[in-house]
Amino acid sequence: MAKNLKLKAARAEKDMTQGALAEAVGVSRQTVNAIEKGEYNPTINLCRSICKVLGKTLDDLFWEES
Amino acid sequence: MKLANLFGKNQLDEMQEHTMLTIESRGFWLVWSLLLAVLLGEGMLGFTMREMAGTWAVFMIGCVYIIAACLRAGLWSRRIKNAAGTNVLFSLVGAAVIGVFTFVRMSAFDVPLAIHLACAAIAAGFTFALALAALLLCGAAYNKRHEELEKEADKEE
Repeated sequence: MAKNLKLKAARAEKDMTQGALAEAVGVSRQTVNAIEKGEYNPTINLCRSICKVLGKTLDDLFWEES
Repeated sequence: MKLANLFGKNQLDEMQEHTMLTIESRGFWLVWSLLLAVLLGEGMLGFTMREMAGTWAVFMIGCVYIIAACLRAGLWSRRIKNAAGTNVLFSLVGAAVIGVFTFVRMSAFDVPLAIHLACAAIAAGFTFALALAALLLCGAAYNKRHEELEKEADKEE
């Protein structure tokens, strides 16, 4: 699985640490880290929560260019 | 009230829950394998049925649970298909294991080699027949349940 650099960039845009984002969406920091490293596929509900917090759409953060 | 809620809210997030389920799954298969090894070892050492009863009961409860739960969910196996060929193959594997086990176990008795082989062959034959019958029965139950679940999903669309 490829790294999710868009998520990392969006988080940096909001000046949020992984811990802060994790707290905001109700998961652990290791989960946010695993998502950014491409080691874990979040459920659609978690994807939506992350998008809401970062003010982005699902396509912005989770669409994979082939 | 759900039993799980007796101990409070689930404090794991979705990834941690997934990891925990993987750990629990591996734990189950580790214990199951060890119980099987213990049963074979005890059988080899000449333990009586009475002495092995506890271990055997725990092992069988695990087997019955996993078979019943998988069939109820319309699941067979991650990688193996429910087909006559594979059922025969796995029955042969089981028969071979019991055949070898019986042959080795017979060495505790002072009987001619022909008797050793005959006992091993009979044990293997019966094991093959029983294993194949069990797999065919479970296979039929799996096919029926899988069809039911697919039809249910169709109706909801």
